[in-house]
Order: sequence, then C-alpha cells, then structure tokens
Amino acid sequence: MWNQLVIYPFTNSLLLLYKVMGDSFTLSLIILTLAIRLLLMPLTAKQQKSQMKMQAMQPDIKRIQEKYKGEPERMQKELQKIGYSPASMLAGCLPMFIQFPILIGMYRSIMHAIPAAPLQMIDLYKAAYQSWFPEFHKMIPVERTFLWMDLSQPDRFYLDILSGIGVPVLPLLVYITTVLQQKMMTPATADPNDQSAQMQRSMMTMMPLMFAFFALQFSSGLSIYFITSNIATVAQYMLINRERLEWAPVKIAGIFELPIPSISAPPPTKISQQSEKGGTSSNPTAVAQEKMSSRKAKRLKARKARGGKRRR
Amino acid sequence: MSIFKHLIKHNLHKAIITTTITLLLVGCSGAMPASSWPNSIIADNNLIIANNNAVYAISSDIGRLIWKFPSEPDSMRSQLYTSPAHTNDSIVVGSDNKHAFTIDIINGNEIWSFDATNNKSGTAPTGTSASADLAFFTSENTLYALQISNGQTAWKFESAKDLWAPPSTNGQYVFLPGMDHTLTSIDITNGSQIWQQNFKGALADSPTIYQDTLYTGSLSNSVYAIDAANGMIIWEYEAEGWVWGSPKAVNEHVFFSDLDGYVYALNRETGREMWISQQLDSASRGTPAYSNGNLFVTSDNGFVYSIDAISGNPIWNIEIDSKNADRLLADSIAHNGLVYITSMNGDNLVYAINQSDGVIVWEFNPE
Repeated sequence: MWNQLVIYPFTNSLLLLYKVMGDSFTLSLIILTLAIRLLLMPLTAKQQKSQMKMQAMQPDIKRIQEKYKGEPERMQKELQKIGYSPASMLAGCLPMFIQFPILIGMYRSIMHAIPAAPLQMIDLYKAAYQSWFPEFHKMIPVERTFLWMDLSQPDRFYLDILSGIGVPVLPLLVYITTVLQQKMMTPATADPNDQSAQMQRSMMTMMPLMFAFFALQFSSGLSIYFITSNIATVAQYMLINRERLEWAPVKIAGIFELPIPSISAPPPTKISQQSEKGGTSSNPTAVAQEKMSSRKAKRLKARKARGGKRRR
Repeated sequence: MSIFKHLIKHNLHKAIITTTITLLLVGCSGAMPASSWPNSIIADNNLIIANNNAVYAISSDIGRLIWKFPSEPDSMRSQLYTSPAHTNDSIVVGSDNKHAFTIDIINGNEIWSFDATNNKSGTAPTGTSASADLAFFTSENTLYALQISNGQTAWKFESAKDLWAPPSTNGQYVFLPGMDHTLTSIDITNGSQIWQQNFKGALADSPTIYQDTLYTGSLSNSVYAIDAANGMIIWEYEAEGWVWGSPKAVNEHVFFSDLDGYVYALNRETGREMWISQQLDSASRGTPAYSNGNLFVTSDNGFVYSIDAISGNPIWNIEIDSKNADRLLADSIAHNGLVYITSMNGDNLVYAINQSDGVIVWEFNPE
C-alpha cells in the first residue's frame, strides 16, 4: 500500500524527470522536490501564517496569563477569545508532520531509482511503470554521479591533501540551510522562559543537527532533497512576507555570521493596537500593565456613562 | 486528566522532538539495507555460502557446519554477498566494503585480503571468480586480477561503469560483463582488451561458457549467444522480462528464467524457442539448476519449482516458507540427488530438497 501510494509514484516521477532532463538525476531530484513544495504550499503557507499569528498574539497571551494567573478556567476563556488554543498551535505543526511521510518516501524512492546494488535493481524492476518508458533498458543503470558525488552514497568530498579524509560537504550545507530556515521562520516570543519558547529553542538546536546526521548517514540524493526543500521554504516565506523583509546578521553554529533575511515584527492584533493607543512600551509586562490600566479606565468611563443614564 | 494536562504542558516540546526522531528513524531504518542475496557453490563436496557478514562451509549431505568465516564478527568483512569462487585449496569472496578475501577451504582461515577502497569510504557490489592462478575481483568499475598465491595485483582493467558480476574465464581469456551494456574479452596474461561487444541492456551476471560460445542474459529482456573468439552475436532471443541470471547450457539446450516469472528453453545452436513455462508466482532471477532431465528454478516469493527440461511441464513445486518472508534470488544448485536453495529473510539460510519429490531433507540456520 505504502509502496503503491507513495514510493512507486515518486520513483517513477524521478525516472520520468531524469529522462526529460537529459539523464541528470540531480536535476530531476531538484525539480521533484520543488514540485512537492508547490503541492504543499497551501499547507505550509497556512503554517507560516499561523506562526505569524502566534507571533502577533504574544503580548496578549502574556497579558492574559499574568492577569488570570490564579484562575486557569478564566485564563482559557480569555485566551480563546483572542483566538489562541493549544489545538490551533498543534494544527500549525500539522504540515510539518505531513512532510515526514514525504521525506521517508523520497528517501526510499531515491534508493529505488538509483539502485547501487543488485537487490535495489530488482526492486526497481517491480517499481517502474514500464509503459511510461518504452526503452526502459536504455536508462539502466541510472546515472547517479554528479560532480564529486555518488548520489546513492553518503556524501564525502576527497582531496589528495587530506589523505583519505572525506569532507561531508552536503551534510554541512544541510545543517546551514536548516539553521537559516529555522532562524528565519521561528517567531520571536515575548517571554524567553515561556513553554513555547523552550520548545522553539529545542527544535532550533535539534532539528538542524538531526537533519545533518541523516545527511551524513544516508545517500547524497537525500541531502539534495533537504537543501532544495530548505531553500524553497525560505524563498516561499520571503515571498509571503516580502513587505516586511529585513536583512540581519545571524551567527551559524556560533562560528561565522551570515546576513540572512528576517521578517520584521508582525502588525499587532486589535487588542494590542488598542493598548498601544494609550502609550507603548518595549517591556511586555509593562505593555500588559498599560493595557490593563487603559482597559480599567475605559470600563470605569463606561460605568460612569451608564450610571449617568440610569440617574436620568 | 489534570496530570495528563500537566504532562502535555511541560513535555510538549520533548514529545514533538522524540516523535520526529522516531518517525525518521523508523522510516529510514533501511539506511544500510542488504545489497544483494546469499550465494553458494559446491566445493570439495561441501556447500560454501556467502551471506551478509559471514561465509559458511556446510556438509552437502546432512547440512552440518564445518567452519565459519570470520569466526568473530568483523565490520571489514561485512556484506559478503558475492558468489564464492573456488580454486585449488582456496575460496575467494568479496565484501561490499570493497575487500576481497581468500579463505582456506579446509579450516576457513583467512589466507590474504585485498583492499580496493583507495582510502575512500562507501560500499559497492563486488564479484569474485577464479582461474587456476588468478582470483578475479570486481569492485566499482575495476576488475582486479590477483595472484592466488599472495593476493598481489597481476593486472587490473577499468570499465566505463560499475561491474556487478565477476568475469568468466576459459583459461585463456576473461569475459567481463558490464553495467555499461558491454561484454569485454580480456587477455588473461596481461589484462589487455581483445574485443568488446555492445548490447541493448546492462549485463548483471557472468556469461556462461559452453565450448566456444558465450551465453548471456541482459537487463533488456534479451539473451545472446556470442562467439567467444571475436565477440560476434550468433543469435539473440527476446524474453518477456529482464534476464538476470546466467543461462544454463546443457547439451542442445539453453535454459534461463526472467523477472516476469517465465522459464525458457532454447536451441543452443540456433536460439530457436523450444518451450516457455507457465508463468511462475513471481520474478525468477537465479540460474536454474539441471539434473537428470529436470530443471529447478526459484521465485522471489519463496517457491521452488521442478520442471521437465524436455517439455517444460511442471513436476512439483513447494513453498519454502508459508509466511512468505523468503526471497529466493540466488542460483539453484543440483548435486547428488538434492537441490540446494539459499534464502534471504527466511527462517533458514539453506534448504536441501529432494530432487524427485520436492521434500525438504535438511535445513541450515546459522543462528
């Protein structure tokens, strides 16, 4: 089932693109990755918008959390009023999880499409829609080398001066592009000790390392998928937020600085805008207090007005 | 409920990361999958099987283990999937991490090893065969001719693309099949090329030498008879699917099977079709075994078939493992009234089956 639904279609798409692209498996991988990103665009755009929304809500969430510290039920109600719920936060993560089966499917399809060993070649015979390829035998074996890389093997770049030590160029690029993508797309949080901030920090540390580890262990073809996918995600994010794009230097792995695009703070929510009318502060707690006092004042005014009417 | 909420609140990020890593590990668990299937030969009345991380010598009559190489697990000797080659008192095998070994046939001790890594990591399918004085070892796109006595390189030959199968030799010439769709004749004394013939598809197994003719299948559905002296194609026959295994030449016939699950008999001289079998349950990769007018072929889904070699009619068939976990991709071997089947993924590595009725006589499980 998994083979028929995911792996075989991916494998044959790769082979078809390989044929169209003049027997370049690297190009076929890049194009298929971009096509997948395009198909996932509605979902990923939703995820990105959800992140932006979360970013914009941060001051209000903080304010409500402080205000209703001892009243959890009231806090939940107030959070719901501004459109925040943990479920919606998880829904924002859904596109990320949908990508995992695709990632696994891509890995298996790459291994199918560029068989580097006999057993994989037999599996390719089963997987190939041979009616798509009238001269299938001419394509076999699929060319799996590109520059210094063997796309079916983990990437190592050998230089004579390094005497047998292979430099993992693609895994390094996977790490760098994943860090860039995460730095750019992770919304700033109002409180660094907040639960979601902790989660973000863990993800930002773990995910690039994990993907780099996979790139070290698995075929170079998968690394090309990671790198293309990361670059496409960044490009999509820049496109969606092109009006608020800024370039800022960011340290990669604490070693070197790169100017990477970042998105300026999102427009505040209606509630925040209301509070800002009565004065602004960069301190989130102060902002919350200001908002509270401004609301209190409004409520008092309204009461007075109602009381006046009653008296009349 | 509140405990559950507390757990979610304080461990959400850990849960997400753990789930992510688990999903990826599960999905990519085939990172270093088996590259090939176990292969075996009969040498000095013993069955020699190369499988994954070991080579086993077992007695062919009762399936008793005689020796195992290496005796202790060793990463340098992992993925030993090549068909072992036998010459004089040695067995030659290759490993996917680009090493060749010769083993003493009596006790399984290593005699010498050869390193073809060139200081680069990675894996590649290897092939081994042997003549009286030389061991032939293919790794990536290079054929190494190694002195049997000491493992020194006598000569080497480079091909345009990968070499998955070892060459065959008639003692004068070496016939090298290539994934680059070529078959090359090489002078055994110095490694120089005599002729090269191009084909429609890749050649993934060694050609069969019968008198002065070579027979080879190809990954273009075609089977060829080739003049060993000059490489000229004598005849070509088109099968239904890829013909991977070496054809079996017996008297006037050539027998082979294809990945669409058909077995064929052709006239050896003319290439005229004698019969085609009923379609088997699944792909058939290995070279059929022949004994006393019967053919023995295996299928990927774990069946063994006995077929009348004259008429192509089925005689018996058995399913090796009812759980359907077996993949029978290796060449079948017929010897002393038994047919030996090596299996991957199954409960046992080797099955010895009675040729006459398909009854399993003994099984061998290395565990």
